[in-house]
This record gives sequence, structure tokens and C-alpha cells, in this order.
Amino acid sequence: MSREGMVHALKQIHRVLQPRGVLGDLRPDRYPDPGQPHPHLPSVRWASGGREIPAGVLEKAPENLRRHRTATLELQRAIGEGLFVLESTEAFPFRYHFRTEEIFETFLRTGWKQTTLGAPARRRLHGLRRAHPAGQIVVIEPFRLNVLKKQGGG
Amino acid sequence: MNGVRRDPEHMETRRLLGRIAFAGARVLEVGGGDGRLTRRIAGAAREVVSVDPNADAIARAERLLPAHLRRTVRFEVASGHRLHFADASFDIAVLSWSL
Repeated sequence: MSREGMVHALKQIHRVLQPRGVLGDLRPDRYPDPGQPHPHLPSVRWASGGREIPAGVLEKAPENLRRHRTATLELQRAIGEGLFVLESTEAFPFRYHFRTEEIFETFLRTGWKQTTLGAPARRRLHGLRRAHPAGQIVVIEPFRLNVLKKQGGG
Repeated sequence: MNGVRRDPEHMETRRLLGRIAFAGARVLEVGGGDGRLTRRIAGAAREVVSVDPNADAIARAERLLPAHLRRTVRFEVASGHRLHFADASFDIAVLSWSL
């Protein structure tokens, strides 16, 4: 969603909510602080025998990172303008489980188009699969739930 | 997609249902996609309207909706910045990965 789209969406949601209605904002926790220099990226792990061994992180395209930083900024702006008040915020891990490396690669190509697995992480993942064949890939996405309450009329 | 499980631990749902009182509420979900989260929250709410601009995702969401939730849930192809619903018509809105 573009910055303008985010602004419109927040205003539209404010309009359709009852007075004191509640907004739950769920999304990847890329930039909990829009001023932070480095994003929180999803980690890739090989899960085998009850252990999860880190292989690296998924890289996100600059456009994706800009959008996430803008989303945090626009939510803060909506709060600053008095549309909503932040009631609570909580970070948590959102986990994806991929049964095979091939399924993971297909998902990267078709589902996560702004996402890449760098060569060092890919090599490490191959190595882990060779060393521990009975396993699967787990991706842990840093996630956040913001709970906001509508302020004002309308 | 077969072979992919998203949040099988229900971390997301547990937090959402733990922080927001869905009981008896009319809920608007923006960016509901294929209805994964919709199906998880529908049991707790009075009514859920889930919108997404992707018509294919909405068609899949409708296919995957269990029969016992069909009276509670409605899916629509719509974008979050063009909502046609009446003013003050929802108790709760959920922005589902859509900002």
C-alpha cells in the first residue's frame, strides 16, 4: 500500500469504527522505531531433532523496507493527529514451517517476491540439510500487534 | 500452498484474542487475504466482514470457509482505502498485514 493509501485506510477505518472502537494492527515488526537504522529481518533456521540451527536472514528489497518504515510513521502520525490512542503494543515471533527446501524456494519465488536468501545463508542451509537430513526449514518473522482505540467522533 | 504452515503455534491469534474483546462484536478485517486469520477469529465474534483487493484470495477464502462459519463471515473484494461501509458500523477493525 502506498503512503497515501495508508493515510486513507487509517481515516476510513476511523470513520467506520464506532466511538471508542478498537483497531488491531498486525504486521511484520520491521521498524518498531521508524528512525532505527537497521530493520528487523526474518531469520531462517534448519529444524531437526528438536533443535533449530540458524542459517541466516532473509533480505528484503529497499521498496519493502521503505513501505514498512512508512507504515510505522503513518500510524504514529494518526496517533499524533488524535485519530487513535495506542492502548498496547506487543512484539512476538510469527513462524513459517516449510516441509522441504524446494517448497521454501518456490514460496520465495511466488509468495515473497521482495525477499531474497543471500548466497552465504543458502550455502549454510544446504550444509545443514546434508548434515541433518531429517528436518525442515523454519522462518521466524518478527511481528507486532498494536491495539489502538478510536478517539474523537465521526 | 501445500507444505507450508503459517503460525501453527497460533501465536498471532492468541495475542489478538487476548488483547481485544471480540465477543459479540461486529468486526471488519482489512487485508484478510485467503481468510487464514478470519477463520481463526470468526468463532469469537458476532460477525466478521473481511475485505481484500485480491479477488483470487477472496475466492480462496470463500472456498476454505467451514460451513459452521458461513452465517458469521462475509468476504468482499475491496481495498482498505475505499471502504463503502456506513459510519460507525463496526466495533473492531483488524488491519491484517495491510499497512
